[in-house]
Amino acid sequence: MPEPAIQIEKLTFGYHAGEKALDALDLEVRDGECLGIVGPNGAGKTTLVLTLAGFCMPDSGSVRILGQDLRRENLAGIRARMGFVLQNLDDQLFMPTVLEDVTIGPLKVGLPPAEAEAKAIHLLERMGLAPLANEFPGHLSAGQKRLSTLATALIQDPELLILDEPTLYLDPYARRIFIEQVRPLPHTRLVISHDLEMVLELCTRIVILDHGRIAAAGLPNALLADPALMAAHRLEVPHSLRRPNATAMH
Amino acid sequence: MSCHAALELDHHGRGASPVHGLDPLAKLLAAAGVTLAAISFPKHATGELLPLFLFPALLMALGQVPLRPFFRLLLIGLPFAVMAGVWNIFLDPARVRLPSGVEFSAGWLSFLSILLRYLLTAGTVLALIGTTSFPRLLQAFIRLHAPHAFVQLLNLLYRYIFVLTEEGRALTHAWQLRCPQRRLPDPAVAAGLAGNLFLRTEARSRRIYRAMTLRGYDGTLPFRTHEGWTRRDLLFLLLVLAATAAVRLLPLTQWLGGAALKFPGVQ
Ligand SMILES: Nc1ncnc2c1ncn2[C@@H]1O[C@H](COP(=O)(O)OP(=O)(O)O)[C@@H](O)[C@H]1O
Ligand SMILES: [Mg+2]
Repeated sequence: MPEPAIQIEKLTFGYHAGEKALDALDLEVRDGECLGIVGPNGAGKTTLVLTLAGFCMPDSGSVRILGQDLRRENLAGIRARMGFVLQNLDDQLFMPTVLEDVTIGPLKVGLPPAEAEAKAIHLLERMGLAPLANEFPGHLSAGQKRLSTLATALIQDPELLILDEPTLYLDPYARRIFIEQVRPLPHTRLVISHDLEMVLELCTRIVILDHGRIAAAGLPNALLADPALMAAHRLEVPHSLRRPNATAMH
Repeated sequence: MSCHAALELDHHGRGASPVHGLDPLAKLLAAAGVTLAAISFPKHATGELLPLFLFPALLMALGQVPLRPFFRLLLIGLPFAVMAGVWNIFLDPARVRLPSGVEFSAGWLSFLSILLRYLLTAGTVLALIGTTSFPRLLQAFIRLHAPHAFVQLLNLLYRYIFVLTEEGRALTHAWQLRCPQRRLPDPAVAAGLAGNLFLRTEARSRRIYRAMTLRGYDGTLPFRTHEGWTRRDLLFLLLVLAATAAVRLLPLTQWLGGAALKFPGVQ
């Protein structure tokens, strides 16, 4: 069996002394899987992402990503192999135009400008974003921002893709387009979301994160269909999994 | 609001027009020539400076730069120019006598001269932004081998303006929604809002910085393409520099019958 894409052991992190946003967390993301992480507000999901990105350094425990230990001296190398779509919609696009934003990644790894731009244009076309290439990212719609951010991540050919609440603020149509872009990707993926229907659609396995640790893990159909488990973690059985007699009770 | 004007101007800088199409480096060097000429005129020069205004005016006209944000930004700096220049009125010992016999302190002339120079140089910079956009101007600076730290500082300032505008706008909207009857908060609330704005922009800048780091930002500016320096750019630069040199070195204003513009007899 190949080495897991992410291997986290006894990871503890707190923003302030005495508080633990992540509390002796054990988590494995297997090579090639699409793992969903669900859990209530404040569970530590975003903190986990920031730790994987190396912005929050563990207070204790170990994090191994793509076969490398997460340490300051490895950071640049590890980050280059990961793609991120972070929770906040407005903070990840920072160049004057969408095209320039998507082009930065390859430029930074030394691709000649013409080649980098061609690669970006090709990707934008594939994602249906070509008409937006010269727009100012700040003026895009939520769905367009999300897709553009995904493009900035994909252009770096990441081995691992991490999405934090990607469908937040998206209308059903934009959400559908986004999901259809993510679904066929071959990458190992970590999807964090309250959008349980999307998790059901995309993920091959899920974990429930609560109070900074894993409360349960298993197949999406099994875990998300358990009303007691869902309620215990401020979640709700998604509509598509509700049994007819359960809905008939009202 | 001034931030908004800056953004508007900068956004226009990404448009298309013959002036927009010129190499940013050519425009930057031409602007530098005009600015140098303006600075090098003697202290009391006034009317002689006027032909130089043709440069920003032409850039603006040909590039169809919007006037509102331009003048808004120009006005912001004006009080500083006035403060810098107003002392001349009292401190300049020289006197001026007009043909009509009226006599007054030459300080008025140097004051006027400082204002004109401010309007000229600031107007040129703004016209440059409105026809080039800030990031491309920075690229031109880098091609000139400007000090790295200087360019990065400008770059960060530019980004900060974006963040400040957006957060400032969000905050103002939040304020206006909750206190629709008052346009401006009272001082105590304003202090709170300012503190909030600082924390917001700080947190937001940090998130943006994170995003940049994840995409490999290492403190250097990324480039898309190198601008191509064409014969058109060279022609433009030479024309502007020649015209500027003519304005500076030849008594043009007198030839053009502009004697009225030139105050004679500074003693
Ligand atoms: N920048 C921060 N400073 C201090 N505490 C924070 C910060 N960010 C998050 N927290 C706290 O850490 C915990 C986990 O937050 P977070 O990871 O954002 O949760 P989630 O993404 O699952 O909603 C929460 O209790 C939250 O209040
Ligand atoms: Mg979160």
